Amino acid sequence: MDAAVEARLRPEVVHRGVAPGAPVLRTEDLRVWYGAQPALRGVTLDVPERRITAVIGPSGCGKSTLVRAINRMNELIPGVRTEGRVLFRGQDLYGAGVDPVEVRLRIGMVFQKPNPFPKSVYENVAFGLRLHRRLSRRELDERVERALRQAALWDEVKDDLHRKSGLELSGGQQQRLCIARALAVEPEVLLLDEPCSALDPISTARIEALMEELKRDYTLVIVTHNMQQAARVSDFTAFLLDGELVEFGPTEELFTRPRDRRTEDYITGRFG
Amino acid sequence: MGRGRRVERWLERGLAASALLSVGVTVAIVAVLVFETIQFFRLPLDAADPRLVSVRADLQRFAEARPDLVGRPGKLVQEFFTETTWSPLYSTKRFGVLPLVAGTVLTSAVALAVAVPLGLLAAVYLSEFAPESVRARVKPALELLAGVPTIVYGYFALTFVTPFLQDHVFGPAMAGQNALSAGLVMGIMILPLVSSLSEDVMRAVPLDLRYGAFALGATRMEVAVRVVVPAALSGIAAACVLALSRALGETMIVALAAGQSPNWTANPLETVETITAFIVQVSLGDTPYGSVEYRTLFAVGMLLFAATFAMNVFSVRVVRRFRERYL
Repeated sequence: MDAAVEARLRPEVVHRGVAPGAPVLRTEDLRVWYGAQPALRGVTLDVPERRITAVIGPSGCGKSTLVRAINRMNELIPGVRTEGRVLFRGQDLYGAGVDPVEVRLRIGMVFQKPNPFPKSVYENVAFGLRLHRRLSRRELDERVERALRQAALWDEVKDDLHRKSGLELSGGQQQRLCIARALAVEPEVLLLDEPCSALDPISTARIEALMEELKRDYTLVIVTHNMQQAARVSDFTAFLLDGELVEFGPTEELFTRPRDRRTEDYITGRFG
Repeated sequence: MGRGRRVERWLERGLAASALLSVGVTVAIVAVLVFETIQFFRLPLDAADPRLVSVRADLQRFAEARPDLVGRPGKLVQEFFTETTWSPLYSTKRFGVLPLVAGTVLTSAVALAVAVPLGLLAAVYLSEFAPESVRARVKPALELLAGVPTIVYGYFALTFVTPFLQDHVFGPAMAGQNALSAGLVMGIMILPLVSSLSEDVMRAVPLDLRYGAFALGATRMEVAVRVVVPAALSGIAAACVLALSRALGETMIVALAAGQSPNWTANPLETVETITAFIVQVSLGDTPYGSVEYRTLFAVGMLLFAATFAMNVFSVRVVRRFRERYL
């Protein structure tokens, strides 16, 4: 088994020897345009390993664009142009010969609106596994169960795995299903694009608790428009304004002693 | 009551009336079909009535040709559904409808074999792969195929496709009028029905679902095959059923290119007659009202109607059962 495959199948192997908190993902002067409209104007950001990094900022500041640039989802939208680099463990994800499919496999994503497939709970979680690996029935069952347990959904769905459609779940359950679906392919990084904005407070609290659990094994980047959420769950926070990174630092520092006037204005609610 | 309200009341009544009209027309058509079909199966009884036979030459001919049927409508029913010779227009007067069914099924099957795979591939391409500029041009062009008059298709099959296949593929084994050419051309005719409707339902599948699959490392093809097509399956099935109904009911192409001789066969190279082609054949002659030939028209017409109706009901059931609902 070559190193890359080994790394994909067993992320813990990759983690070994890399200190949590050390930079694992770096955007370098990342610029994105929608047609002629700039959305990111040169963002350089280091995302630390196995920590939760929150990206905050007012609507339209480019938070979602930033995370979608990391796993190359932006290029699915016609008319999007990207410049700059995204380095993941030293490799430029936009480099020649890098397959976006491979990138998305290593860097998973959860969307703002829960988007389970109109298939059974089991098939939702097995979807990514079926695409990329030939697994025996038993292995598949095990991985589906593990992913559902990781997403704290197993107990609620275990009796109806095959009969219940993912769409019959509640909103919060759907979002956890989407998290389980992303975890099943064992990515190294999980991007969450406003994962709680469509959820009620109780479901939101569950997802936040879940993120706390997940950061033991995964590097998480969460986009949120909710500053309390960023302050509650994240270790590091990046503040974006008009497509530029205004400030990045440990969450506590950024919220208590912001260095930039604009950050202070935003977190104290003077705009946005 | 204000003027606006009054106008609205009348508009409402107008709308209700037009809805009722279409229901009424449908009911009337079915009623006529059923009534005349009963008249067909009553032939043996009419032929047993000396007063009727004495004034009706066609009943007389019927009674002479088929003394075994006179007074025995049950036997006619049995013959209709189980025997394999159809010759109501000839002096032998056999009423086994199966050759017409075979001709209809054969040409429609060929048409579906062309239209479903090609139409689905075209739909997947247009919906999931084609750039907008290509889609904007190709889709209307495809839909144009459905606008070609069927008589033109019929001549195309008869004067181009058949000679071409005879010269280059099958040789003299292929009859001048045959099920294959008619079916192939009919497939081209219904292709846009499959592709255009399927493409519409595929595009209606939410982008969110596609992004969800892309984010799991799916390729464009995997997204199309594993997410979009299953989610659009009910619409795709509906498109195929619609295409099949269209093929079963298609008349000009098969009347011209498939032939007019009832033939109990599964060989698409032979001349066959479809139900619709038979109806044309009879309708073109001077068929007196109420005659034996006239009654056969409605019997086979009813059969065609029942088949398409059953198919629609069946497809609705199947679709309801297998579709992946998205909201």
